[in-house]
Amino acid sequence: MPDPATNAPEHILVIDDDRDIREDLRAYLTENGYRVSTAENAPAARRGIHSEEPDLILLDVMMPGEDGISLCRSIVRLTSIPIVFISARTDEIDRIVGLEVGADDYVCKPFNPRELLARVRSVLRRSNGNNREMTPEKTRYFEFDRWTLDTAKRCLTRDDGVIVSLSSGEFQLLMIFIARPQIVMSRERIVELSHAEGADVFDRSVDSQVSRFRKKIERDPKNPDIIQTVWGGGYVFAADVKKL
Amino acid sequence: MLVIMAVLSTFILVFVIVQFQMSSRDDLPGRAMRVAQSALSELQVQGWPQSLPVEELKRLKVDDYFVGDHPIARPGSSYREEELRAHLGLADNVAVGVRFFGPRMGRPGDFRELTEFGPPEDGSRPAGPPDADASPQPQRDFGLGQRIMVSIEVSEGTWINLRTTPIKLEGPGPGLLPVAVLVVLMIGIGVWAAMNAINPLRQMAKAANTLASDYTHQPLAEQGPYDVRESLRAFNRMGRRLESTVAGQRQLLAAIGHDLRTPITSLKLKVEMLADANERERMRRALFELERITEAALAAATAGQSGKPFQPLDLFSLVDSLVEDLADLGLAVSFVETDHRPIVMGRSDELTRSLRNLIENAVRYGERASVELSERQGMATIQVRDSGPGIPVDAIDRVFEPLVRLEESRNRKTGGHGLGLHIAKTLVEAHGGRISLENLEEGGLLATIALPLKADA
Repeated sequence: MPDPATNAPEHILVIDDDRDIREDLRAYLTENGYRVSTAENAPAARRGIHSEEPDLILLDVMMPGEDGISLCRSIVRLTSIPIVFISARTDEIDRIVGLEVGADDYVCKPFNPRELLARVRSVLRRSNGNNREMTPEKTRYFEFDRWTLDTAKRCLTRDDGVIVSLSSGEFQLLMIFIARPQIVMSRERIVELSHAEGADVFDRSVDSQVSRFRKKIERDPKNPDIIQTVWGGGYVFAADVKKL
Repeated sequence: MLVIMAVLSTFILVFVIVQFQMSSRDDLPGRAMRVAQSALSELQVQGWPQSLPVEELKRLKVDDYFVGDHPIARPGSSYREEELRAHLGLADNVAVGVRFFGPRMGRPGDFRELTEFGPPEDGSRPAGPPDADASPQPQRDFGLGQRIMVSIEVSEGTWINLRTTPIKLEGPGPGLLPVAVLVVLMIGIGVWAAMNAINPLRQMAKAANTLASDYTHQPLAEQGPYDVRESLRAFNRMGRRLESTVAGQRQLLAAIGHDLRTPITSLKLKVEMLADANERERMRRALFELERITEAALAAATAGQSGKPFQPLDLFSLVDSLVEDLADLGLAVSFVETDHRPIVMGRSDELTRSLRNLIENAVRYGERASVELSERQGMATIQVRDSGPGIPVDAIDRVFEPLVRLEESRNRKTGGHGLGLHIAKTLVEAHGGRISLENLEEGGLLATIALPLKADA
């Protein structure tokens, strides 16, 4: 694995049956400082992976012959190369399946190239930091109080089956809390964590975010059980969290 | 169906008529004799101890009786005398006479003697089945409008003479009941036949409305009278054709939309590598627009076709999250505080998309959007108000049709694609809900989504 510090370009393998996309991605990623090789189908991809292990794989879901999902499963079984899916499908189901077979991220065509670049960087950073196991996305369901959180669908299900929607901000806030139950966090710490985890939505204050969120999940928002205020300290996620 | 009903009703009709005939003829002479006996009993009450069978009297009333010194029905007038004697339990030495009368045609109240009940031909022909070789079998019919007279010698030279009223259809017997049943039955059959013709037409009207609103065709049962059946068949044919045509167009649109994603992606990547920053920005905007239209067309083509199951949704959280996300994207949208927490059955992504389209429209044409959530009349209601000029009243229905845009010039500037409201309407209606627009008196446009509340919520 090339050391980012040594300026050796990281190697990305692009697997897509569409020639234009392959060549455009090669050109775009090369221009942005990566070394790129391409494969048009699963057998070519396997040869590429064997001959020279890439640092990251961009993988098209729908390909003639063996599809991306199946290829992803076998790559994940044999190597620890991070995989980002590219697909023209936007169905939630595909996104979830993609993440469940072990992909690290998922972008949909027509993606914004700069967004793709940001995701590639973020996945590479995580994989180089060797902390992939710690990323909370690896667990899909969390349970706390009377709620089940589905991180893939980004929604909460109450114990009576009612689905409660979360805004992006609320989801990020919940992910921060859920990873650190029973730990008191100051407002500054929460903002810091939100930036660290790629969140950029905390324009509004943490206080107003928390108070909005309580209306959705607390039995009595004025007398909260789950996210409690610690006077002078910040907030604590007081409920027990179970990974499912 | 019709044939079965016809056969059934004919059968009932015949049954009723036969019953009626049977009951009105039911051994009438025998009954007349019983009545005579009753009459006798009545007389006996005055002198002879015997109970009185009132019911029989009621059925066949003794019209008149008198005691006289001569009989109005002389013994030997009818062959059924012996029968009567037996019925009445009279001793052989009591003289009995009976005569049968029928109404004279065309002269109400006038009677003629029925000769077929006449005297025994050879004096040796009492009641009972006649011999097989007997000459013309006396007709035993005795029924409607007929009456009998009975004379009985109760003592030497003293005769009791009875006359019954003509037999009428009344009282607790067969009476008017069969006729009433018949009339009701006829009316019933008439109404049924009419409904049989009208109901399919009603269903056709309903199906035509459904077809006109969402291009889905529920095949109608081809039933009813011939002409109706033919119309239904033609309607079904038309519905199937229309549905498959529209479905085909949707598939085509979806396929095109889907296939455009790859070249758009390719173009986006190429644009990022353009050297000229101005050119790059212009191309990005054009591509963004192309992508937006493609996605909208794709959404319109696939709206409501996902087939994913409905789930109970907390509508408050759905609206609140969407408003917050859109506000974070810089849209001028606010959510009015509410204590309502309606639960509806639905697909969260589709309802979110519907509401987002309304909010984006409100912000695009009406500067800002104010969203309210409430419950009224068993429906959860989401209202989106804007501060724009509203829309012409005659265009209110038209704007829900695909690709209808009201002001081309304004539209180009504001970037609508004419599919947002159509998609919203399709999705809301797939949830059994309604969507409507109205101009507010104080200015601005009010868009309303009404969704049925979850049944037990």
